[in-house]
Amino acid sequence: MHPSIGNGQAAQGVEKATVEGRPLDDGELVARARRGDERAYEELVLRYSDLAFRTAYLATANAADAEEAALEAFLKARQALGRFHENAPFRPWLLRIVGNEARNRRRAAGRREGLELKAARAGRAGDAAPSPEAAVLAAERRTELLSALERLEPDFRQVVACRYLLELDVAETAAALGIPEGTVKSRLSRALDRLREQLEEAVRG
Amino acid sequence: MAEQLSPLERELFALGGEIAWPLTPRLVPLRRRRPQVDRRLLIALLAAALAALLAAGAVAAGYLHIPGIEILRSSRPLPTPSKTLPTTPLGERLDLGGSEPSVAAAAADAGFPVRVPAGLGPPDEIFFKATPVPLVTLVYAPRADLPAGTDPEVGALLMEFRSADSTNFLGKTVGPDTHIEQVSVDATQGVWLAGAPHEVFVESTAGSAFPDRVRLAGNTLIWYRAGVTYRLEANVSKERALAIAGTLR
Repeated sequence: MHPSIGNGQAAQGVEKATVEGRPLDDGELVARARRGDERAYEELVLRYSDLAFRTAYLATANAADAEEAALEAFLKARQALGRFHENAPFRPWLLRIVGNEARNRRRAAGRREGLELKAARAGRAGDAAPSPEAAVLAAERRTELLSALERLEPDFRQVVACRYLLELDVAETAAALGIPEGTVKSRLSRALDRLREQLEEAVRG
Repeated sequence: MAEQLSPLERELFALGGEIAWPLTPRLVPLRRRRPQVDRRLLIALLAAALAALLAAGAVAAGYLHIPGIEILRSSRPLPTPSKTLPTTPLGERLDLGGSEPSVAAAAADAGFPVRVPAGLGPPDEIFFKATPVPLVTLVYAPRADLPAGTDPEVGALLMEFRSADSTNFLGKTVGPDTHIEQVSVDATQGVWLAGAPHEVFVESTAGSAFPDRVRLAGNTLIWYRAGVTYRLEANVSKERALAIAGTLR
């Protein structure tokens, strides 16, 4: 099972804040963190480490820069918790800070390399073993999809990666990329059209 | 309302579960607020899960904090600045701002008293930069007792900027082999960084990172006194750096 993003990393050793064994939701953790509860904020960091790091990675295309951006974003988010509307969703708010940090860091580093995404080896633990033919086909399809994604213009690739690979919703994608929701939708639509064209061309050879 | 997904969208969602993302580093513990026994003594060292970090080949083992400066420990080696012949003026090359005719003129622009290490004498060049915070840099050319480091035109470099507890203006990322030591500087606390390259990044008070072109990465002494943070970078020993710092006038 692929670890779902945003469900925390209990293995990393920070005890989770709970009430009678029930994990606290974001709003409760934010409220506690605003009152100075360090553990509550650490729980939020653990919960969103994967999401923040990967969102930053999509923007920076560099793991070290992504790490620094995510770390900085968590620090700044904590400093800004006092200005956070308690009833607002935490994820898009955090993603906006992460996106800003990542873009700033990419600019500061002057990097121009493109994003390189690779698929993990086929056949994750717990999956039924596919037939050799099916495995080859699936691997080929993944490669085609990734290749088509890489050929997309950066703005389109970013929006597709956020929306589908990271499973952000439209509002979260907009926050992470610092663009209006309408722009997210229009870019997604055009990006999907481009992807379909490229995949059809690949099939035609 | 259930979203109608096209086959391509379903494939893309499935692909997301199969991406080999770089391993997410450990991002906690974050820097903690220390009890403010003395506002000048905000040097904090946070332990972190080094083993996990080393396994991940990634960053963030801990921080030292002086107002205005944040030091981030990295478990990955940092690139050694290349020693190349300068092709642009020093101030531009190191992003130090504009040249100033005198220390007094720099102090007038900066809005705080600029101090000069008497042990080094008058600086050879003075720079002032207004953003992201007013910053004065005194530059000493290489000489017998101040050998050049990574930049052939710099023997010592002293940066001075006004700082506040809440301002992380200057950040340093230090590699795993950088030696970090708390030291006493001129009756206040400071940090000595030596041994391996460390990067510097600059942030505005609003939180935006600025391009960093100050990457001399020589031995560095950082300390804070009376609302001003000092950063002395020179290719000298800790004892010599402390002696120089002790002569600020």
